Amino acid sequence: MASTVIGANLTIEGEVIADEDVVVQGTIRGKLSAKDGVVVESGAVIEADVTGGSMSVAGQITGNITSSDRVELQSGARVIGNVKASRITIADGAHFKGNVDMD
Amino acid sequence: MAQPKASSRDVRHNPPRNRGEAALLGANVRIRGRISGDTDLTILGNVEGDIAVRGDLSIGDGAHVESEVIEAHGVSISGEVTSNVTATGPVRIGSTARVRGNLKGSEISIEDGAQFAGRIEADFELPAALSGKSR
Repeated sequence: MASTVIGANLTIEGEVIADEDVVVQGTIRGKLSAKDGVVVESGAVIEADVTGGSMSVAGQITGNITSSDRVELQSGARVIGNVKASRITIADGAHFKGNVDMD
Repeated sequence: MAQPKASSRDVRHNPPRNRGEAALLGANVRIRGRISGDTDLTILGNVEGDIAVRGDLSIGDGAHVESEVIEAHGVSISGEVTSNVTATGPVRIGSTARVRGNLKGSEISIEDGAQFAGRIEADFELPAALSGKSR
């Protein structure tokens, strides 16, 4: 199944609700909630709370992240906000400011 | 070797793209808010809110879009749309489409089977017999 791709030159101001995988290369302001995986690619800008399944972040997120699975902050990622996930990895080179809740 | 012929549309309207992947909003996605950008965009899910893209917009069969204004270059609709559409290029209403709203574009086509309620505004030359105000 083709997953949703918010392309590099696209901006969404509002609420995005996805029952499928989401790849973000562009900009989202508002709210992003996905049922499955979320990939935030390098260059993407998210100013929103993000909820979803497994998440891989190489872009920029300002907002709280809630995952039902795992969160990977990759090198180059910039995250300001709290992360709630059962598993989290923060790669060397990732910027992160916020609290982690692994309960 | 024969070169593949570039369509005139590509020549006239080919905004530079940073990446290969164009934007795709899948069938299981709902968006409430404003969508803008200078890429092509394909919508297969639900969108409630205005859309303004500089590239081509395709609203697929099964998609549902409700907004005040849709602005794009070319617009191709096969889904359900309640909105005014302002295109700088052609507007194509496919056979499975259900459209309510006013359409504006360089060319408008409506396929057999499509449902449409609204006004159409397209620039074209009327035949002389029809162009007079009263005769």
